[in-house]
Amino acid sequence: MSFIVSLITMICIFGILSVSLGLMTGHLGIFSMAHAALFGLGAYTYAFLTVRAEANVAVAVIAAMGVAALGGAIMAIPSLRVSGDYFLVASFALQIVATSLFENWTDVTGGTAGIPGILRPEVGPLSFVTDIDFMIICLIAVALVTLLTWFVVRSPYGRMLHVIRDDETVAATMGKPIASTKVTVVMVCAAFAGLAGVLYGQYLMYISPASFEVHVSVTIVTMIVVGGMNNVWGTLVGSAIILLIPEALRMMQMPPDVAGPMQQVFFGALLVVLMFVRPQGLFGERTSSMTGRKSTNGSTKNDVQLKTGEPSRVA
Amino acid sequence: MLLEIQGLNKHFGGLHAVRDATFDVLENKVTGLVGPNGAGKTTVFNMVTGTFPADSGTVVFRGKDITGISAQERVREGIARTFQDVRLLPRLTVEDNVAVGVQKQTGESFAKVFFAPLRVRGKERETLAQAREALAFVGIDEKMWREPASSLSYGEQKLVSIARLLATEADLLLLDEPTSGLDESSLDQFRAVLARLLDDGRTVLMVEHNMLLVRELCDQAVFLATGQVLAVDTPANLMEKEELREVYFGA
Amino acid sequence: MNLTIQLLLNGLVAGSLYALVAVGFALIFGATRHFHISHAAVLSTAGYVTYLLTSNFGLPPALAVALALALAVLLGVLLVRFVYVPLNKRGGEGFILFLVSLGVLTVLDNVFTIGLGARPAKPYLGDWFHTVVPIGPFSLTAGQITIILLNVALFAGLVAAVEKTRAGKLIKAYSGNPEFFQVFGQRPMLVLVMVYAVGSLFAAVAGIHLAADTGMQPGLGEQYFIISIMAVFIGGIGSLRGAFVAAMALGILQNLLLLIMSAEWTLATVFAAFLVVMTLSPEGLQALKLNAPRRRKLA
Repeated sequence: MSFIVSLITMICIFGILSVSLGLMTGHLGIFSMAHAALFGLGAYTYAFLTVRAEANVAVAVIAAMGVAALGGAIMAIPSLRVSGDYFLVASFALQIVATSLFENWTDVTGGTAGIPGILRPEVGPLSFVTDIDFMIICLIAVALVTLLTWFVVRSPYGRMLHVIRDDETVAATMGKPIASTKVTVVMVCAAFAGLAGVLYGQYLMYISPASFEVHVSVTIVTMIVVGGMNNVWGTLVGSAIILLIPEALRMMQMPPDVAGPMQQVFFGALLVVLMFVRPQGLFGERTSSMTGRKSTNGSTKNDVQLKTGEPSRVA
Repeated sequence: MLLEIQGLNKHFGGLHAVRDATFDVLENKVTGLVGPNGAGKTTVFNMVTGTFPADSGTVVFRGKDITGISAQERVREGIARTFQDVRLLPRLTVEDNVAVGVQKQTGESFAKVFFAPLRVRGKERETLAQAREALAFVGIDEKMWREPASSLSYGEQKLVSIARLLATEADLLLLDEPTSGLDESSLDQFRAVLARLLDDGRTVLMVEHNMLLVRELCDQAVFLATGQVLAVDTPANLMEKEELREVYFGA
Repeated sequence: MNLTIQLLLNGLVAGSLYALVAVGFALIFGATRHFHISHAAVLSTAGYVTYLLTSNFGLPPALAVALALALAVLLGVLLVRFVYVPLNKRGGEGFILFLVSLGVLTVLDNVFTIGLGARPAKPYLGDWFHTVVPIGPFSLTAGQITIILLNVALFAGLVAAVEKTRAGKLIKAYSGNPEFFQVFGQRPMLVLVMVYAVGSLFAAVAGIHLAADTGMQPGLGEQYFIISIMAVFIGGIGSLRGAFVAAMALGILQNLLLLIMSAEWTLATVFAAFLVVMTLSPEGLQALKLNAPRRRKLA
């Protein structure tokens, strides 16, 4: 029973991560390799503030989401001036640098030993300390994040995101505020990742750098790819599927030090196979941003890639 | 003059794509941009709409120098364009595609979507109404409005892209090869739309290869070859000039 | 002052490694615009394979190195021929090619971890490799001097080849306009194979040195890769010279930073420098060059 509670809690936490990455990547076309770093920024900020600095829980949660959002801004703002691949590089770099910080800034993060002693929240008379009560908090959180995202996607704002994703030139010539939209969405998704970090820390009551490394970012990417990155429910389902696989592997009695890398091999292979067989995942749609093909009757290259105004090909 | 272009230049690497282009676009008239392939017509378009920055020269719209401002700001000033390759979003409905063109949508603010959802819903109804008006203007049947854009014929898609342009309420409409690939009946529809646009007070600058259509539809024509403006005149006068004909057909 | 010069020398070594990876990537990315993240895997694979060949198979170092290089080149070529191009033909671009590359990287990285565990895999290339060579009051190992020289030689060779040979001209033509190239049937696959082969070779050289010098470990490939990528962007996309210069500069910077901070912070600082440069000058170093319009060059 406690195993199921634990599994559901993890699915909720990673569900928040999936849905938020899905909004950024699937609906706006911004690809990030740093979601685990943002997850970690939220977790560490909350842990540091509540355990080391004895701050108020509510303040710590907001600060955690804020720091994560800041991480998002650090990647997004410089990238507005440069071509699309730049964000990918910046996110990859942020991910690697964040891991380095978590491991080495021992005064704040506790280094590789991490931060133990994180408490589960108690709001007035309500206490969420037991596993089941905490699971309920997580269920509420993932439900809120998912509904919020679903609502945004179906609104005129979502329509605008899709235009920016599928054809930035059209978006610009139709007057859409591309730069501010990108920064806003990245920061909101980063804040959600930070929230997931808070819940993660509260759940395990302990955090360490290993949970926020690049392979976790790859895992979250796998989740949204499997489920379908441009479908909100798909990303949620994707997180459940990917979390269930290690359980299945565990049942195959693999030796513990091989299990981790084995999972990663499986995820990597899954990514490769999916790209050949069904790149849109279970519930996603193939969009022109995926195939690079222009919308209707179009040429195959987006003629304004570099924000400096030069076309990326002299044609 | 609605639009004055003065000395526009554009280089792509070693290629001098547009060279000292100078011409005016007259208000409430149709100006054609003509010339052989590769003459730089679309590049001029791109500089007018702000898709590329010009290397030098000025673009003045209604007396205001807009050379340095972004594409988005130009739409707000009242300049918008279509694309040679149409560029509708295939999975969006026809009316959603046109709604994209509507400016200042309340629903396009992240904060308002959350904190004022009812107002957003109301405004979205207005947005769609505006989109539908534009669709009716170009003559797209109501039955098609909720269909995905990909289900329309090429000619219909081109009309939808003009509707999208109308939704922006821009006064200067840049049409990039609006008649290419159209069959006779679609062409008739286009002629009707163009006439209605002029009645509505709009100004049109269009790239057009078919010289017969240029003669029929344009009040003046700008002849561009290898990036340079060779002549600006009425189509009839332009077609008299031997040198131009040689350039056009010889290229 | 003594420390500074020594750090400078160490920086040349680090810069050389970054430059090899960066130039290799710049060649591939400049020609294809494809974010071939598996490049990091080519680096680590070359290192791991050299280790396996010398330790488990007992092959002499020279043979092991040659085989590892060949294998790495083969890896790059197989990827483009059997994975990227077929996917591209089915309409895959952008995300799809990147994701498949990411998948390959993940598989390769972890396959070696499963086999070898997390301990550093350090092939033995001979006693000469770690012999300390005094340079006045400073020193580098023979292996380190070798990599600096190899880096310069390979880079110079590549630039000359691209400028002067017919193959080079094909590559330049392809990178300028791939669709045109394909229409006129100049064997685009040949260009792709060449570019991936050479790019992978460069990465492999770096990977082998790295393994022999400090031992190949999980995550090491990514660390070198990310700095090299930053160099490619700072140097200006598509410019081999830019990538080379930027990579050497980052290597030297990273080491000189040790004068004022401890090792753990150098990566974050280099990243911050990267962000600043990109914000100020999106075209990277290219923007600092003459204002005269130039043809988009590959090198």
